[in-house]
Amino acid sequence: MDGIILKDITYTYPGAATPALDGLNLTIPRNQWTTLIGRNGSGKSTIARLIDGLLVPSQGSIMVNGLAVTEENLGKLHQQVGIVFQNPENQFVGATVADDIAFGLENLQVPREKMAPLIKRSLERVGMTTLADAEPGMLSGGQKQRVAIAGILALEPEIIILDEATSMLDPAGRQTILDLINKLRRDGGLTIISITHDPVEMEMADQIVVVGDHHVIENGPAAEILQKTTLLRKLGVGIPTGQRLRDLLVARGVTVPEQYFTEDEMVKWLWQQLS
Amino acid sequence: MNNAIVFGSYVPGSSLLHRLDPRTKLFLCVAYVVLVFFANSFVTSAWLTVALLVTMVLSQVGFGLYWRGIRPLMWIILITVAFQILFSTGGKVYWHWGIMSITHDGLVNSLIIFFRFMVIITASTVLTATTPTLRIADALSWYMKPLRVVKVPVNQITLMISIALRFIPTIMEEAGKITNAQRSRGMNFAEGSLVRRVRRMVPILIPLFVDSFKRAEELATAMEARGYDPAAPRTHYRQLHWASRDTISLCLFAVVTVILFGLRIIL
Repeated sequence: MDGIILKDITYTYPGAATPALDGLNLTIPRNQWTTLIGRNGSGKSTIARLIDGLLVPSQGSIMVNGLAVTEENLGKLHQQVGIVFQNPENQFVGATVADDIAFGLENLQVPREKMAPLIKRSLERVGMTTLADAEPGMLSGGQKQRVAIAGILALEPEIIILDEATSMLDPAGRQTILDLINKLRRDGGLTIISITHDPVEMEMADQIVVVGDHHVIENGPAAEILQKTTLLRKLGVGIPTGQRLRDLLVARGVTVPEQYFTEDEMVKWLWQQLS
Repeated sequence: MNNAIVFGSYVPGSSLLHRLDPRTKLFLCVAYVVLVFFANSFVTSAWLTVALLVTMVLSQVGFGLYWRGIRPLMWIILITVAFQILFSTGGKVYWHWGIMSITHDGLVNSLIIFFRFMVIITASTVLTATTPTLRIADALSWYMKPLRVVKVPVNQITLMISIALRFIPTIMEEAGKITNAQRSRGMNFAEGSLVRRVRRMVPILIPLFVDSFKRAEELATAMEARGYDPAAPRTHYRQLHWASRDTISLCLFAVVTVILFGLRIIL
């Protein structure tokens, strides 16, 4: 069975009065980029942690590419699912970049001879080979997040989850991470799940899942969900530039085709109309 | 507050001493400190000083940098020496006032203490100047290995040490930020009596503790997500390599030791 299937999931944080997730059903397709959006505290991060087995649901079952999320499968699960967390500082375990990437490999008991080439290759994929011996204090937030991604790639995972991984970075750092994820998507073989409030990141996804009120509110292709401006406004997330421009044009009585436009597509369409 | 206190002592380089295995250097440093207590005369002390000077030259670290390592501790040394001079008795009395007196034995003792202090601090500075803190931690965990037999969780302790070292600069930075935040709210850290100043540290320490616990929790989640299981065996990326220069160093040290005890017997 392909993809990630969450069936009838209920999860309550210890000490909380209401469940974070209540009877949630969700299927995340394999080898695609799915973005989870929703207000803070809507349960997006809880979903990410449940998929990796970091939290155990009080009810329901989860399958990750045919692997049941259970106590016995945790080791395999942690290898298959990599999470990049929000704070670049608090997920850097090693004393140097190479040591940090080695950390995951050490946990998997990869023999030492095999580590060096794996570390080198994953650093190449994130474009950080020259900084292999750098200490975390010498790195920017964006570079630390790239190291976190390299650490995950070294384990050859099937799924990579970005839990607001770009939210603490400056615009340049955010762009390098998004470009990197885009490149990984093109390389293929990876299911990408991102949790974000950033309209640019939402626009890059194939699928968007809207989470709210402890369950899934909407689920569909990105182009379809991003057209629902009223819903996006209600969620308090930003509206992508192309869509906002389209809405403004429609409000002024311009006829715009009934289709989703990214910023670039909008520019192209406008040029066509004007020339 | 800056990292220099903890990390600043390492001087990058590629001298023979830099390339020595950290286990060798740690052992030699500890053994040398022990030897210092066996030096009982001017000649034996001079012999150990010569040995130390040779290693200092071999380390290719400027003497100025060594002085910088000793300087912060100078006050402690001077006060100890002063106490030793003024309050120890025995031998010929040169001067006395109340309970204080300067005697012959007091002067000799204080000279010995001064020598020991200087030499021990310099020797440990040679170690920390030529070895990154992390490598010293590696060496330390190697020496702890036998403790596994008595069920000491050596691997976990090693990981704890390395994480603690890695987070020192981060937490220092955080402390700086909190200090500035409190300052911007009108807190004045530079005025008032000592007790008041210490009490003003509380509004820095509490947020720092809360933040550190939050960090620890996030780090624990991230480590678990990367497959860390404290109970499971792990492989090790970082390894120590014993080279012939390490064996030679140990032999040279044995020679120094033999000569020291030889001098003790002859004199």
